[in-house]
Amino acid sequence: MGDILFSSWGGWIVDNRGKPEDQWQDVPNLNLPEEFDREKKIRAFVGWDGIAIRDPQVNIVDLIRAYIEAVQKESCGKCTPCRVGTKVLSSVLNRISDGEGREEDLGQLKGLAEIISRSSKCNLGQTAPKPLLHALDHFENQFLEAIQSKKKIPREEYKMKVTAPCESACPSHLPIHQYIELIKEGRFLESLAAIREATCLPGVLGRVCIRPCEDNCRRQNVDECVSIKWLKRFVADYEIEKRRKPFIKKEPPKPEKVAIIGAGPAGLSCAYYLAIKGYSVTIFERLGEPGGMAAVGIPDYRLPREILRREVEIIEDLGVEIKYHTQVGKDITLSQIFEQGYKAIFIAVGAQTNTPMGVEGEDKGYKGFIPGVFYLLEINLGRDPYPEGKKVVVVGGGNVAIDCVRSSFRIGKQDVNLVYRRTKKEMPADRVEIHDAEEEGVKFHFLCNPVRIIAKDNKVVGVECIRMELGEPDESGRRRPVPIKGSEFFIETDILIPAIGQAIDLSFLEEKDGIKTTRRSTIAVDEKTFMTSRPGIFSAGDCVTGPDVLVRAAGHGKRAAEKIDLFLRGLEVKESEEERLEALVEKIKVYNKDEKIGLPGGQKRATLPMLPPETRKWVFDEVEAGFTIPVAQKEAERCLRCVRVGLFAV
Amino acid sequence: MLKLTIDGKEIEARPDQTILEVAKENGIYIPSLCYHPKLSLIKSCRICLVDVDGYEMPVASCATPVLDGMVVHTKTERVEKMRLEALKLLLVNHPLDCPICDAGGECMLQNRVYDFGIERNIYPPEKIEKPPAEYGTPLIRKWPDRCVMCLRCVHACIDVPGADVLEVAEHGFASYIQAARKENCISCGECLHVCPVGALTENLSKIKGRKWQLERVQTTCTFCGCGCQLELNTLRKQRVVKVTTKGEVGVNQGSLCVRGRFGYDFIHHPERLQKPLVKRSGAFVETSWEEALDLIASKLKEIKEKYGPQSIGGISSSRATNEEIYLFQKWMRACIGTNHVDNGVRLSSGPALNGMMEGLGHGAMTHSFEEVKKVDLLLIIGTDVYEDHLIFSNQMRKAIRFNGAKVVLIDPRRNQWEKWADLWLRPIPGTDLVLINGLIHLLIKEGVLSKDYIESKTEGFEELRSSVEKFTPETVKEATGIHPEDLNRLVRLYRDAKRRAIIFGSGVIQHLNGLETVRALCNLALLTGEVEQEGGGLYPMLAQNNAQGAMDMGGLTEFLPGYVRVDDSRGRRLYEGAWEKEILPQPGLTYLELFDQIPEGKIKALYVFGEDPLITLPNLERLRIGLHRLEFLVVQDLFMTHIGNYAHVILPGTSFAEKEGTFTSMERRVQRVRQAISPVGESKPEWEVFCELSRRMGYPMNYRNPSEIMEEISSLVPLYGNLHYSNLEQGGIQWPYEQRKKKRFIPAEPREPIETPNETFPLWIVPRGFHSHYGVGTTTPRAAGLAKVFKETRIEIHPEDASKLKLVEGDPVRVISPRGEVETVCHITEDLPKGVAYFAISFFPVFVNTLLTSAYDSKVPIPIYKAFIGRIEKR
Repeated sequence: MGDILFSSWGGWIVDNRGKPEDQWQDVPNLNLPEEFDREKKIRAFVGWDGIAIRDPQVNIVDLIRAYIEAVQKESCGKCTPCRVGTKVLSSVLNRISDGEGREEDLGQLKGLAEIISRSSKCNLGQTAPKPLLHALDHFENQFLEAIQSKKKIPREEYKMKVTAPCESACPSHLPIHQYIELIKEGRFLESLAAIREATCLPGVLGRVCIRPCEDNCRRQNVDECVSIKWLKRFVADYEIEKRRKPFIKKEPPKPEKVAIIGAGPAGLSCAYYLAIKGYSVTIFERLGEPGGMAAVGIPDYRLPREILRREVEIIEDLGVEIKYHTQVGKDITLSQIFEQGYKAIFIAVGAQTNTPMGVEGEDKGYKGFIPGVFYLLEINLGRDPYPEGKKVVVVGGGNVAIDCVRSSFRIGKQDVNLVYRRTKKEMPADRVEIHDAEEEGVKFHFLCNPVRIIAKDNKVVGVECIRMELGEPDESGRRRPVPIKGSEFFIETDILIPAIGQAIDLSFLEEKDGIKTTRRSTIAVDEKTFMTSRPGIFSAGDCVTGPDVLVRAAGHGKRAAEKIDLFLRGLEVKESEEERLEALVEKIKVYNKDEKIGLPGGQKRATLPMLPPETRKWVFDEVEAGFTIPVAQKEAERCLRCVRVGLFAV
Repeated sequence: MLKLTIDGKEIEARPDQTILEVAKENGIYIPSLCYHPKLSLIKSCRICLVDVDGYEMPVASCATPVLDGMVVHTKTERVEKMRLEALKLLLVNHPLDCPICDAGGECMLQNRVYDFGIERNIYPPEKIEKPPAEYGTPLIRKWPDRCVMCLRCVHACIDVPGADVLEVAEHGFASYIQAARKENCISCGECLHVCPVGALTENLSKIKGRKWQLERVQTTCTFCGCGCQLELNTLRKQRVVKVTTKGEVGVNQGSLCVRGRFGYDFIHHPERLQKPLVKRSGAFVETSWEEALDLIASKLKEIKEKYGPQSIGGISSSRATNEEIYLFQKWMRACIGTNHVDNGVRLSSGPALNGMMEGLGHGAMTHSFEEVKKVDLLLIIGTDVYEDHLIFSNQMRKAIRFNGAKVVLIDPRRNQWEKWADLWLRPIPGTDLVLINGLIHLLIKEGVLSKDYIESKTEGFEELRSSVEKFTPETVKEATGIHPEDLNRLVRLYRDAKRRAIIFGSGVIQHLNGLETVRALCNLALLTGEVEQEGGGLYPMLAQNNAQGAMDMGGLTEFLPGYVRVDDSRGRRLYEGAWEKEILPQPGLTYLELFDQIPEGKIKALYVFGEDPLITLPNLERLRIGLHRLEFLVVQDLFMTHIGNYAHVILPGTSFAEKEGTFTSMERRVQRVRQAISPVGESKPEWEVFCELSRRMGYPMNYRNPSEIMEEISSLVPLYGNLHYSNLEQGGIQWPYEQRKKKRFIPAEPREPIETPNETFPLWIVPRGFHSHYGVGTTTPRAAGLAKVFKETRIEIHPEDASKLKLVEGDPVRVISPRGEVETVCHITEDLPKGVAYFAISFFPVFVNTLLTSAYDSKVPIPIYKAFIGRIEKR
């Protein structure tokens, strides 16, 4: 049973008007949350794909008036139909709402709306008239009545959200359409400045982000998605190549000090945005190198160290101090930090240990048994983790596993293997990375799993595996691998690297700190405010979410900075309206992979030139060269600018 | 090639073309408004929409690449309706002030509205706050109500010069074009040129005609060596009221710089000389042409008879036409019989000519402007190409925009190109040569050279190799201050490029080591065979509009027209035959030497055509003494000049707007100069004057018009072989850069500087030009528009040097060198290195030349303009 009175979402009409409530038809193609926030309900929603009305009291005329007004306010002014056309629509709708409408208005609205939706340059103008057209089709009487009654319709309260499929999908909500537009216009530094409004790690994310934006890019409905990630890298590199210093506006200094535990993506992001707000920030970092897993978990051939270091330098230039080789819990405790006058603490220690495989022998401390994250850490610190070992077997299918195999060649290991219990299709690692690893000559062993580590003289000499087959899908949607009895076999190896997942080491927390943890051994926080159970202590990143992607950790670090700021200013620490709206449109879903765009395509996305596999596999030099200016601008030109407006009646 | 159908017509096209381009090529008209072939795709107007079979949405034909099998319809009912609607929407709030709009008659909105038969405003006006009318430059007036937000101006500003002044402010209907970064505006008027309506208009001359009242004469700009094509808009062929450009014409393709677009009104400046003047009892009085010409002819004859022809000298200007320069030297050499004839180009570009000629065989740009966009490395040394040669700078930007070219800037002073540079090196003034030799040394060491080219097409490589061996990175660091790591970056950038353009200018040429540095740059180009690579090569930036022509035309004493050396008897005989006169077999005195010799009494009479040595040469005292000693001095110019004061006769010259002729641009392109108005006052085209004088002196030169002079030139000068006016009607013609002879590596040794900063004179002072002004300042300061955007001369000084002297911005100062002092104001800027001050040389009554050392290199006798020592004091 549905709770939506009327929906035209996606052109699918559900009209429950006049039906008893218990017979209301459901709206299967729209997930419209009930509550806007704790106090307000969502009474109706108008957006890029139609109208959904829940509350029969909603006045459709005012709703549409407000929507078109919002669109006009958001119109970038860069094409005629949207810039002027929506202004004309808005004036006519205002006239009707003011009781001064004329009968011919409806015809004019319809005609103009159709033309705007077909002739506007970008998706804002193309989608904006849709709800108006739906309303004129299905609520014509309400409009006629408004015109005939000559009464003023009271203006209601609405909440507006501007979004785009890519931006909604991005955990850091980067202003993607804006920075791509600036690249198209040739304003590369401005583009980078726009990115920095949302993240301080453009060069890092431009290389290693898992790019949910591209999975949600509407251009792929025409031909292929826009290379959003590489465009980001392009502007980050441009700044370096052209020797520019970023201009970052900083607020006047505030007296409060904030301590951050961990100089990983979450910690750095939090530090950057706190520093911009004027706080003095100290980061305590266990290692001698900034970046956390971005530095030690991602090999140099994917993310050159100097890129990360430069972005950290920019953060330091804002006044952030990083205390290296300082392990909280050993060198300093949380209580001591508070005693030193810090008014807030942000814990962002990440997930730096491995998940056990549950395999016989893994707790014996054999030489040659090296968990993936430690293996990468050693390599990234410039050491061969086990020079004696020549043959490598990595277990796992994620990015860490791929990083381990590809790095192995680069420290001179000749025989490199990857064991994964499912098939290539199910591997969670980046497609591109898997392809590159194949090109470089990694031997993949699919559908098998280790059961026993075999050692001699306390040294790994091999691993016993069992063949698997795929059974029923599990909760992740992937088919569950099931061992085939009696199919055990043996792989000879000197090094065995489990890389099946990372875990969080919370041993630094003391009972008296009063920080609650979860059963999954993560730090418990209020997900809207990043507050832990101890006032003044916030946390985000992998140590809260469990092992997750860099772009989410960075995004949460930034949002946490905003919460810490509220806390330090003595204000109520709560989810902002923008965050709320972001969460709501995410639920509604901005990208529709089945949408027919109706534009000719045939333009392949630009890709990066790569070193050939035989050269690159032995060195840590960056594998891919960036875009040149003409390539970047041409690629940016492919962006369809899918900006859209959603409006909630509350 | 692929096939598609447009409006039922089967068409072949390339995959890199758009629907609009293909349609246009095939004569199918698609209306548009914002599309401009020079600019990146804007897609704002939505008028060029077309339908494509199989796709629900209409597409902007300007931005949609063609696909094989595509079926396009340009005139469906739907798209016609959309175009009409877009126009109706553009008319919302658009003032229908067409009768008083400058664009009336050539307004794209007006034309489209006419085409579509829209008779009135369909939509009622919208209430809106009036956007501000403020703009980036006072030379352009913005009419915000007329703006159709096509955004051409915004893109023109970023795409073409790269100034990036404009952006869209606000949202929706309230959006408007804002000059957000006014400080970046260089008043080039690219925005004005591309504006399809009257939203931007020239804000200069009050008298302006409508399109149909104006006559437009296409001609060649007079303000630098780029050779831009422009149209002088005249009223009744009497007055120039505006400059416009055509998008598809010339090297500039519609672009101009501030001087070309807004500097024209010097033509009608009240101080223009209107009649010949003779000096009687120390004062000038007006006289008739007859009297003046008779006087000059008889005086020169008298002096020739009394002291011999070698007592007479002549200097011509590199701003004059080819025909005038040719005729002037012919008159001097053949009629008077002296070889003491030289040209202003000697001072600005002499060393460039000599250096390139020795090494490469031609003293000219190795390629054409257009080719520079094909390179992937731009090495800019000693030239502020953005300020001085904007149109070439625009071409260079194409190498970045379309080819991703890397940029190396070698200049102590920051200029616009620093923004786009991958590497910026700031050598100590005067040490460029060491740096280039150091670069060559490392390139040879690393094997970055073209062995085949060197073996087959050059000689002298071994000498070069050994000569640069001592220029190790350490030596380079010591001399130039450039760190070995930076030098290495330079080597890497140079190595990784495939085609390299070396762009150099006065910063290199006008040094003590000018000739040697040009040689070194030639060596650098020869090393990798750049000279014969498409795009790669040497691009000297020549200051004057006819610098190249002046050299081509025998303007310099040692060369007869076409670079025939006067001491080459075979070549000389050709001219002797044609001119039916013997020519002296030895070169005469050069510009500087000539003036140096006057006080010695060897030169008795001087004819100065369009030059003012009192502002270009050092040692003013000696110059004055010399001028007093002259028995006869004729000065021919547009305005009263400093040397004019010493003249016995002054002849009023004509500007480029008042005569026929040709200029040769710095890419060796010979282009027509066309008469747009009758000569101002009683002024007379110079070629007529030379004919008159020669006739009076018994050597008739009978030409009815400059075209006949060109006929003679083309019959004598092989480079100008097919240059007849009839051929030039279709556009300029480049003389061929022939690759005949073997090229030569010529080792270049730096010389000890004549002076270096010391306790008394702690600064290097470097004179330079400024974007809005030109040459010695006879014309540009008299252009009201240019004076508006750059009012006064000033000396630029680093903040640290300023604070030592307790100077604040705009303070009046005295600039003192061991030779003299001048007064100016200071401008404090971090664009300079510490210890170096830059002085605007091209300016008004500030005799920067009084500060110059009178020492010079006898091989290349020109003043050492760049870098002398001095100090600054507060006044």
